[in-house]
Amino acid sequence: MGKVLKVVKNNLEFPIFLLFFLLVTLLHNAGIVNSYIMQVLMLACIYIMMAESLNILNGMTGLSSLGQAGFMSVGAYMSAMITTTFLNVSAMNGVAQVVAFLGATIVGAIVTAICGVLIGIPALRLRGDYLAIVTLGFCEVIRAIWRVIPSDIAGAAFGLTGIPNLANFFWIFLFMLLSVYLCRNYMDSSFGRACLAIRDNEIAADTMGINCFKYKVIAFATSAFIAGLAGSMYAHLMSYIQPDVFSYSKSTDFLVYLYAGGVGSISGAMVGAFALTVLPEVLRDLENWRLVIYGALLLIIIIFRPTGLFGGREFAFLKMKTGGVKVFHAKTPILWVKSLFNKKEKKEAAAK
Amino acid sequence: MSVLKADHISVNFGGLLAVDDFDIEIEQGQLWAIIGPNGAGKTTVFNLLTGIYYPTQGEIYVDGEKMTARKPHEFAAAGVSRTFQNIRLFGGSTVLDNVKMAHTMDCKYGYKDMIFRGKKYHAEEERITKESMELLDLFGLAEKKDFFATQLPYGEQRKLEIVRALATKPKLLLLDEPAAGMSPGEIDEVISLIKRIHREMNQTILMIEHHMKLVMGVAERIKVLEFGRTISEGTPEYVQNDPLVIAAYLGGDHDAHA
Repeated sequence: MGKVLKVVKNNLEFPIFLLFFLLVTLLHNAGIVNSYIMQVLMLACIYIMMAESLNILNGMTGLSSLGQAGFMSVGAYMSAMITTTFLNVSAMNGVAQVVAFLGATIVGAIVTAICGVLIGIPALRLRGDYLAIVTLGFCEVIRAIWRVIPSDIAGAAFGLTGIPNLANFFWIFLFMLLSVYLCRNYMDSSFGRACLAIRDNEIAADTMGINCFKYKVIAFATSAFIAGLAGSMYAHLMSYIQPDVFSYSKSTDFLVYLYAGGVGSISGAMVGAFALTVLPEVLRDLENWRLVIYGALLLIIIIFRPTGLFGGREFAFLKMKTGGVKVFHAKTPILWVKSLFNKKEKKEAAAK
Repeated sequence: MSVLKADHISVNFGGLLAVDDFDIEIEQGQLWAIIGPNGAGKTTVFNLLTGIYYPTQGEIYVDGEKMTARKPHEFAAAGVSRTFQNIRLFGGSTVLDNVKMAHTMDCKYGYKDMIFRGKKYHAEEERITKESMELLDLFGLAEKKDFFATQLPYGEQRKLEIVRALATKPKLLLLDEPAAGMSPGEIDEVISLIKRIHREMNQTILMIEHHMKLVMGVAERIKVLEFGRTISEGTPEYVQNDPLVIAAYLGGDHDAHA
């Protein structure tokens, strides 16, 4: 008991996460938070996982990937095929359903990680834009494969329907936190440092004894694993998946979340994905203007904070040691606003 | 046994013979220097000795082990570490992280320990941080540990590259123009730095340098290259007085005739 208390004392964020979860569930049960808001929250959590997964490649290792939706679709289809086509989980009782769902999720994620390794090995001979094109191609090939597989297994072009709706807020929130902590542990280790070294200077990394190929493959596998988890959550939340859901534009969305939040920062990926998933829903009342405002806000973010909202910053609760990051305090946003005004004053003074 | 042996290595780029029949045997504790005019192939020799280029002819042995056609990270694992003529630091990372990154290959925990953060992870991370800080402290960079590598002044960036190379605990340290672009005062500092590394840490060193004051001040043995060929080899006194070397640097016969 004393040990548990000590852990809680050193990690105050755990009880806060628990309280947040309980609060949301309570408000939902009380009817204050409706199912629509819950759905948006759960989607935001899934997209946070995707942004984290992309951050391992784009942010930490400096490999540009445009095929993240492809990895997500592998996780979604694999787990959905297990629960729907092979096991018929809907007919099981409560506990067996959950066990099957978790098993399918893990299997789906592992298969996705293997996919990551398989496409990683040939693709990693390439760099930069060329790698981006290969991953984009992978994403499209995977999408075509789901269309070709017979409809009694994966639903073909029509999509896989009747997936049991097993991913509730609890599981999605839990897997989101697990992914964030996996990314944190990854970055704050020799693996993460090797990736950062490869990003900063590959030749120097190689001569310092870092096996660049090995660490790139590990980064690809880890990234694909998280994308697979997110895919499974997505399939079991929406109950219906179709190849076109995981198109190239989805990959671009994740890229936008990551860069708006701050590439290379785990907290940035969280904030970016959350803000840009919730924002269009908040603006829904503005009807067609919401897309204009969404785009304009993105422009403002990139012009005024080119490194993203959280570029080079991390939440204090992650206790990051690597990457030379500044800790994000509650005061930080106030300082940003102040600095904006200071710039204006300085410019005016200079003009005089 | 010699730390490094290059057995008559040559490399061809297309039709250009960049390094021709280069032969060297470095014993533990020696300090060698390679000099030569621009374009003589000195950096190419370094790239051959660290696996960045493969020799078209000849063999390379590190500590008696045949290393021909191995990858750079295998050379690093065998104990050859280097710095670069055009500084190649991990610019997006802090000074401390730069040194910690050089510890990647001697880090003993695996993927599982990384995910679950067991005792092994914490023990290793503590060791790596401690060793990195000791090394930074030794070279007076400890208080700058949280700066980004690119924020350091030029001289300290060069120093950090040497520290990073030493962090891999190399048997042989290759320094590619450690004093390039430095003022006379800074060069004196580099001389004392290299002497310190050589004497106090008993580090075997092979360096490329243009500044004669530095080379003649610290090197025990010197090899002179011109157009990829070795034209002279010996102690600083011998090389300085070799007519072939003087001709290579100041222009020889055909210049005199012109």
